[in-house]
Amino acid sequence: MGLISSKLLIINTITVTSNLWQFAISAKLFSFVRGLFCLEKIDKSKKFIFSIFKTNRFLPLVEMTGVIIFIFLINPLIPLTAKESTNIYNEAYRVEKISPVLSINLYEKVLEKEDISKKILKNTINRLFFLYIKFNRYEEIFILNSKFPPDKTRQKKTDQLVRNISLRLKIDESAFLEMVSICLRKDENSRKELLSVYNYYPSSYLLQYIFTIKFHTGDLETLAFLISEIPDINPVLKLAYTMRASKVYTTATSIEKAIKDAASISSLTDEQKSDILYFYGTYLRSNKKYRQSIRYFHMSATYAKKEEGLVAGEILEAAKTLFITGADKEACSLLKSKVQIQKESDEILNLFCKNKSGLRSVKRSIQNLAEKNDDEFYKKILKVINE
Amino acid sequence: MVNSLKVLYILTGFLFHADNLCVKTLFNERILPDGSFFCESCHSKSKLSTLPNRPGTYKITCYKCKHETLVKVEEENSSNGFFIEPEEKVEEPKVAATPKDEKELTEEEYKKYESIFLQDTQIISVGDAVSKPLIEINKFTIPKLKRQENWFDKVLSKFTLPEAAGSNPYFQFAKRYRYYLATAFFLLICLCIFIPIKNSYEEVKGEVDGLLLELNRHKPSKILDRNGVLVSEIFQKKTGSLKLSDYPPKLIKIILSVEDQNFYKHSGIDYFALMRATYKNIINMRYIQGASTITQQLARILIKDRRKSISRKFREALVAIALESKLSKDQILEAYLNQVYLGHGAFGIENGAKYYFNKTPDKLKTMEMILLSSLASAPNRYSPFKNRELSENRVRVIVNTLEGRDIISERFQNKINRFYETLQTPSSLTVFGSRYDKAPFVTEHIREFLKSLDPNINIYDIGGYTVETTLVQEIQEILSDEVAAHLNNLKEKGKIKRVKIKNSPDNTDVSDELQAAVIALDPSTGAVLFMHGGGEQFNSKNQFNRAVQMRRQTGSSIKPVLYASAIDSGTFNAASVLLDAPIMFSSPDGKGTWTPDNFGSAYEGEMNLRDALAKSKNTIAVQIGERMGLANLEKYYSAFFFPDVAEKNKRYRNDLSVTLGSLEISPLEMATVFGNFSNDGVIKRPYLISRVLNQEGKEIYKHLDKDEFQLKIPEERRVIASDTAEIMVSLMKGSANASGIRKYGYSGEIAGKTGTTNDNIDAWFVGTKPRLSMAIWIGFDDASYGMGKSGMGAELAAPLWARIGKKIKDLQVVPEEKFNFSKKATRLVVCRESGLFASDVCPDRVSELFTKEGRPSGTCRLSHDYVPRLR
Repeated sequence: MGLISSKLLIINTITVTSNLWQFAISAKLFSFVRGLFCLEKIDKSKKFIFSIFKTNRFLPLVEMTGVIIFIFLINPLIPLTAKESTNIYNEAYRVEKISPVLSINLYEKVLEKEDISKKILKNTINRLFFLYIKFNRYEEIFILNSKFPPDKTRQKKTDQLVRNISLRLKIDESAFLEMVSICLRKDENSRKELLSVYNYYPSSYLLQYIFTIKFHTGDLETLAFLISEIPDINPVLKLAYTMRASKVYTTATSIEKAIKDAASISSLTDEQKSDILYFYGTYLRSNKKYRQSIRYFHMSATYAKKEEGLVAGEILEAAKTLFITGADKEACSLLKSKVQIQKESDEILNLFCKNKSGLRSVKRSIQNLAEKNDDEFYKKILKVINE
Repeated sequence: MVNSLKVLYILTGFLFHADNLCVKTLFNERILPDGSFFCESCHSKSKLSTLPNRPGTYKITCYKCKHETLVKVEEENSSNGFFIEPEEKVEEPKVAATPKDEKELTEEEYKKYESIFLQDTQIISVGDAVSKPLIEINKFTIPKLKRQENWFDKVLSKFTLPEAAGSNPYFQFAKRYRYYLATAFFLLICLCIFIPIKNSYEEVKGEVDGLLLELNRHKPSKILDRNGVLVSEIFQKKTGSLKLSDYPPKLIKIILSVEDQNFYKHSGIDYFALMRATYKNIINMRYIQGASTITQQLARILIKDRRKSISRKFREALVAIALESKLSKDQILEAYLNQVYLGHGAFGIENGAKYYFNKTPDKLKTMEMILLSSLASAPNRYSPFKNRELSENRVRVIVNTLEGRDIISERFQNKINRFYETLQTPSSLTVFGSRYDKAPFVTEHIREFLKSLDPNINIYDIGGYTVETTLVQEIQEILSDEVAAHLNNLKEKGKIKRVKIKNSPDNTDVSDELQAAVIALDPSTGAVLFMHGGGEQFNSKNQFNRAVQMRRQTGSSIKPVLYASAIDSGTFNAASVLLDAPIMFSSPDGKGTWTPDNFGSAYEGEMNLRDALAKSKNTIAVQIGERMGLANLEKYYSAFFFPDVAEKNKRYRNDLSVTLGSLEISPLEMATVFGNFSNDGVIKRPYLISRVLNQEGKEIYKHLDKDEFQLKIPEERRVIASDTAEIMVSLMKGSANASGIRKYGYSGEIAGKTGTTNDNIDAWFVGTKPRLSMAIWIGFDDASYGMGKSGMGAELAAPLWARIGKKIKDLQVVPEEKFNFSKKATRLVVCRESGLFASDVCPDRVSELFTKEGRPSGTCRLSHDYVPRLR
C-alpha cells in the first residue's frame, strides 16, 4: 500500500503539472496576442514595438485577465477533451454503482473505441465479463473471450462456467466447448460440424445455446441451415429465428404466419406457449398495436412459470407497452411486486417507477441503448428524462 | 577569623599593659605651648593627639593641608624651643630615666609594637638623632615592657595586670573585672569554634536528605507483572532492598558485635571506642583497630569519599550525627545491611549472601553469617576467594569474640577449616553481570513514562521504585527468544530477502537488521499483556520500541476496520455482493489513474463480503469505501483510530487509499482497535503500568490517571454496535483461517487478518480472541527495503502469532473463553450469489449473520439458470 499514496501523489502531481503547463501555455498564448496587439499599434502609430511595451501599462493587465479567464473558464472544460474511451469507461463505472445492468452497454461501447488504453481495455473486459455472468449472458462471455483471449482469472472462471453449463445440458464439457468454438465461426464447414455435434448430443438446450450465440454473431444463415436440417426443431427457436430474420429478409406477414404455424402445434408445452405469445406481443408492439400487445403479454404470463412475489417478465413487457402509450401510472401499478431484472429495459422501467428523477444519472446509458436499438420504449423514456 | 583574633590580641595587649605607659616629650618651635601644632603652610592650628616621648626627628602631617613638617625632639637641655609641662610634671631625671626604661625594650619588641600600631600612625619618625630605634606615635601610647627572662615569663606577663594602671578608668575597669573578662574571652573562643562546627553540621544535615536518596539510587527499581512476579530489575550497582525484619536476628547480632557493639547506645560516634582504638593504635604504634560506628560507615557509603584526611573524617562524623537525627536506629541498620560492600561487586548482605553462598539471608548458616560479617571492614582483603588465609584468620578472631560474648554457643573453631574447604567459588568473579531485565523494551517504556510524569524520575539513576504492571511474566520472559528464533528460522529458510525498492531514498540512520514488533493486550481491560519492540537484542543502538513508537502502513490488516464500518453504517451486510474485477480511478482531467489491484492480479467476479475479507480483495475494499463515501469513512476511521480531532487532522488522509491500509498505524494501535471485536465493540485505552510506588511505598501513579501511551484516546469508547462486532468476529475467523494460522499449530479461537504492504515492505498479522488482542509486525526499519517475494503477512507474521498463541494456550496464562456479545446478530439463510433472502430456486444457500438494521432487502431474483433465454 506504500505506493498507493505515491500513486495518488502522482495523479495530483500530474494534475498540478498539467495545470502549470496550461498556465504556461495560456500565458504564452496571451503574450502572443499581446504581441499582435502591439504590432497593430506599431502599424498605427509607426512606433517601435519595444517602446509600446514600455509605455503601454494596460497590456500586462489585459494579459493577466486573459490568463485568469483561461484557467477558470476554459481549463475546466479540458477534461472533456480527454480520451473518449476513458470518459465512457468512467461513466460506465459510475453507472455500474447505480445499476450494473445499465453499465453493460457502456462498457461494450468502450470496447468499440479505438483510442482505448491497455489499462482501460483490461478493466473493461474484466468488468464486462463478470457483469455478463451476473446477468446470465453466457453466450456473450464466449464471444467476448473469442475477441479478447481470457487471462488466467477469466479462463478459470470460464472453465467453471463451462463445467456448470455442461452439467445443466448434460453433455461433455469438451463437446460444449467444441460447439462454442464452432458457433463462433461463420464458414460453411461450421454448419455441418454444428449439425454433427447436435446429432451427437440432441439437446434442445444445446440448440438453444447455438441459436443465442448465432443471434449475437448475426450468422442467420447457419441457423436457417440448422432449421432446414433438423425436422423436429423447437417451434419457439424457429419463431425466434423468424423474428430476427424478418428484420433482415422477411416481411411482417411471414412472422404472423410463423406464429400461427407455431401456435397450431398441438404438443406445445406451457413454456413454449408462453414464449410464442410473448413473441407475438413484441411483434404487435413493434407494429404499434399496443393494446393487442398488452393482451398477448398477459396471455403469455398465464402460461409462464410463476414465482411467488415476483413480477413475471411478460407482465413487465405489458407494463413497458403501457408506458409507451403514456399510461405511466398503469404501467407502474403492474410493478408492485419485485422485479427480476434481466434486461436493461426492465431496469429502466423499474427505476422510472421508483424515482423518475433518478433516471438522469443513467441517461447516457439510456441514450446509448436508444442509439443501438430502434425501440419505442427507449425513445419514450429519453423524452421523459429530457422533460 | 584571623582578623578578629588580631583585634582581640591588640585589645588584650592594651588592657594588660595600659598601666605601664610613660610619656616624655620634647618640642620644637612648631609645637605651641598648649600642645597644639601650628602649620606654617596653611597657618592653621591643630591639636596633637599624642606627644612624642623620645628624642628624634618626627614627621607631622597637617590634617588640613596635608603639609608635612619635620619636627625634632631633643633632650631637655639641647632644645631651643619652649617646653610645655605636662600636668604631672616630668623632671629631667625622669627624662633621663626614660631612656633607661626604654633600654628595657628590645629591638624586637619595638618592631612588634611598630607592627601592631602601624595602621593608625599619624606621626612618623624619619630620623633618629640619638641612634635609637624609631617608633611611630599613635593614638595609643606605646607600651613599655619589662625585659622578660624567658618565654614563660613573657606569656605570664601577658596575663598579669600591671601594678600601676594609671588613672585611666578603662584600665581600672579592666583590672576590677579581669576574671569576668577572661571568662568572657574564653566563651568567645568557644563560640568561635562552635559556630563554624554548627554551621558545618547544619549544612551537612541539609544535605542528608539528598544523601539518603543515594541509598535509593542503588536500590533496584523493580518491575512486577500482574501477579507481582519480578519481570525486571533496574540498578546501577545492585544493593539490597530487604527490610530489617527480613534479616535473621542472629545475623544482625553477629554484625553488630563485629562492627559496632554499642550501636544502639551511641549517637553516631562512639567516643569510648574512639579513645580505645586510639590508645591501642598508639600502644601498638600501628593501625590495628578502627572505631567507625555503623552509622559512620553508612555515612562513608553515602558521601563516597575514601580520602584519608581529617576533613573527610570530620565530615563523616557530622553526616553520622545528622543521620542519627534523621533516621531511627533500625532504619540506619537496615540501610547499612542493604548497602555495605562485601566485595566482588556485591552490595548489601542480600547480594553478598547470593554471591558467596547463592542463598537468601534467611537461609544462611551461622558460619556463613560470620564470614559475611568478616568482609565489611576490608572486603577485598578478607575475600575467601582472594585471600583465604587472611579470611580464615579474621573469621577465627570473630568466632573467638562471638564465643566470648555468648552470641554463638557452639564450638565453631573446629568447623572453620571444613567450612572453607566446602566453600564453592562462584562462576562469576563479580555480580555486575547479573542485571535482570527480561523485558528491556518494557523497561525503557516505563523509564520514559515515569520521566514524563516527573523529569526528575529516572529509574536508571534513582532506584527504589516499584512498578506494578499488567504484564504476563511467563510470556514476556520468553518473548524475546521466541521472536529471535522465529526471525532466524525465516532467514534460514530463505523467506526473507532484503530487496531495495526502486526509486526510494535510502535511510542510512537505521538498522539493516530484520525487525519485529509484538504487542498483546486484554481487550476487556486494555491491560498490555506483553510486548517486544525489535528483532535485534535491545542495546544502546536498538532501543526503538517498534511495538509502540513505530507507525507503518498496515496493508490489508486494516480491512476489518473498513468492513466493520460498512456493516455498522448499514451500507453493506456480510452477504452483500460486490464485483471483484479490475477497477480504475481517473483524475478529473483523465490523465492520471489509480488502479488498485488484488494480490496476484486475481479477480473472481461477484463475491460477498465474507469471502472478500477472507480473500483480502482490494478491489472490493475500495468499492466498499467508495460506496460508503469519504465522509462516512472518515467518521468511522476517526472513531476507531483518531477520536482526537487534532490527531486525526495530523494523521488521517481523506482518500480511498485508507481502505487498503495507507494510514500509518502502530502495532499497539492495531492491537487496541482489533480488541473491540472481541470486546463487544468497545475499545479500552491500553495501559501497561497499573501502579507506581516510590521508595517509601507511596503510590505516585495509577493507570487511570493518564493516557500512558499518549494515544489521545478516551479511557473507553464504543466504536461499533455489539451485533456488528459479532458479525466481524465471524468474518475475521474466516480471514484468520485463510491466513494459514492453523497449519502453524495454533488451535484456539481467533479472529484476525493478515496485511502486506506494497513490495512486501511490511508484514502484519493482527488477531483477537476473548481476553487477547495481539498485533505482529515484521519488516525493515528502512521502508525503502522490501522482504522479497515471500515477505507477506501470512508467511511471516501469522506463524509468529501462532507460535506465541500456542505458548499462551499451553501455559494457560490467558483464560480460554468463548466470544460473547451483549446484542446478538441474527442468522438468516440467503442466496450466496445475490446476498438476498434465498428463493426456492437459489442453488447456493448460505447462513449468514445480520444486524437488525442490515438485513437483506428482499428475496433473490436471479434465475440461476445456465440455459439462455431466447427472448
